[in-house]
Amino acid sequence: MNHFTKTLLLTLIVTLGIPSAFADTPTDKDQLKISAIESLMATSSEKALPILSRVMTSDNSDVVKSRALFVIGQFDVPESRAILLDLARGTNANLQASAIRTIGINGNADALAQLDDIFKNGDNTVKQHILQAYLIADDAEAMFKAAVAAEDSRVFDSAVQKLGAMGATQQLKQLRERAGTSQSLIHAYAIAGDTESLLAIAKDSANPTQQTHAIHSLGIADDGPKTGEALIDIYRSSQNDTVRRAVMNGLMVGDFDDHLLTLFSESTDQKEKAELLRQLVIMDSDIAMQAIDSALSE
Amino acid sequence: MIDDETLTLYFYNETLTNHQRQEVEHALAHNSAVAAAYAALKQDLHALRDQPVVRAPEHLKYQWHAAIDQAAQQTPRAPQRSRWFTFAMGSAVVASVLAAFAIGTQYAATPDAERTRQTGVPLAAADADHSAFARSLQIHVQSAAYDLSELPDQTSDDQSTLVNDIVAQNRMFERAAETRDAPEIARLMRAIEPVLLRLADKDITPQEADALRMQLAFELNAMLTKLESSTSEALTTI
Repeated sequence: MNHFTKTLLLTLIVTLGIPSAFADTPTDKDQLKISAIESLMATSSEKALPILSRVMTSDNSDVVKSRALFVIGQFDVPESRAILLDLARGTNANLQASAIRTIGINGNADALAQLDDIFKNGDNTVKQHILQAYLIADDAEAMFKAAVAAEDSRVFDSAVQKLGAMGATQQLKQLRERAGTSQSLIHAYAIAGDTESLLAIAKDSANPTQQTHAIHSLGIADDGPKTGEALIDIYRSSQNDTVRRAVMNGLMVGDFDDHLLTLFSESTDQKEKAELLRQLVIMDSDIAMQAIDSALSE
Repeated sequence: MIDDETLTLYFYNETLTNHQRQEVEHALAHNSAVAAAYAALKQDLHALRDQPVVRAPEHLKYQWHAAIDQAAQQTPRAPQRSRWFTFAMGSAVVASVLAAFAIGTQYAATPDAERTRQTGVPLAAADADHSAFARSLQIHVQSAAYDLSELPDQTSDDQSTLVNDIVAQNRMFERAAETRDAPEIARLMRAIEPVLLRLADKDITPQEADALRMQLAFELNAMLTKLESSTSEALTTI
């Protein structure tokens, strides 16, 4: 269940960010040009780049230009990076998105660093494309800087989610120190499997909403029995029903049936026992039978 | 009398027909010998399940890979194609098979001495490891392609599960490309992931799917051409 939930969240993170030029179908005339562009992959950058530059400045469709951009990005030379950055700063939204994505695929550190200015001046759509490029290039430091620079909460949340997907726990910790805890950060800790940070928030009762969210996320992050033990410690030390219910849910999500049974055995409250038993039955755990036997023999 | 093999299949809930299952259930309810045999079998199988998984020694893994390679060469598989072959399936096949080729080519482009230096593993062993990787990727693609083709017939929950599986495996191969020092393949796999996901979306129009498939095929072909070109240059240098 943990694996499923994590992957589902990752799916949501990466579903964004396909340049709209990709959805255009090339005409027959375009197809011939695209075949010619593809064949340039086998030639040197000295021969290919002048031709590809001409494709970009001529009256071609965005589909043809988008394909040419991809090939340009395969040449790791300053000239190709200049073309990509020029288009990334341009006003054609389709080609801008393609150029930014290609810079991510190319992975050149200098070109990626120059996306920084475009991010600061771009609208939210451009920002999302740049975050996607950082994700493709696996550039956690650039993603961190983008999160810090984000003024819109949706952009910040998107950067944080992507950092979680990249497993960038150091950058996520730094973000928490700078910006405080947020729901998206808790989410990202779960995706990155950073149980240490989640536990710190889960034990802090100052903000019950964040505390319960972190407790639930611990089930997703699942770091083995240690997490289960920590969760039942929180359960025992809290008198808050919401927190206790979050622990029950976290234990259920994390498949910690042994720990739920421990709580069931310790409890002297019939209502609480019934609730714990219900959770065990929902988990379809073999251990539930022990609890049912125990309940029936009381 | 129900034999142990049937009881084992019953335990794992596998390959028994409804009629066979009913026979087993009837025997378990009415025949104490069968019930006792099943109880003992269950105990053994549970004990087996609880055994810790021990990592196989490296030399054994190489032997297995070599044996699998040999078997694969003797019985080459025909490409799977069925009446369910849709645009989504086509796109996934193109994507992953080309990616598998690309990784294989990238590996071939690396000189032997360099490969041995990078990995610290004897060359024959490294060969087995890499070909196993490319083969695994191809198998992943074939099953992903089949799963994508089946998506429209699945319930919403099953669709989510299938797509999540494909994404999870794509990420696994991306990590594998990184550990094999092929970052450009890893980046490309990360870049095509949203496209694959869009292709798996049930709301996609045939026109959009066709356009995305062509984009995907172009990018993977372009990468393949580049890697093949690197191989030729390496051979010329030698």
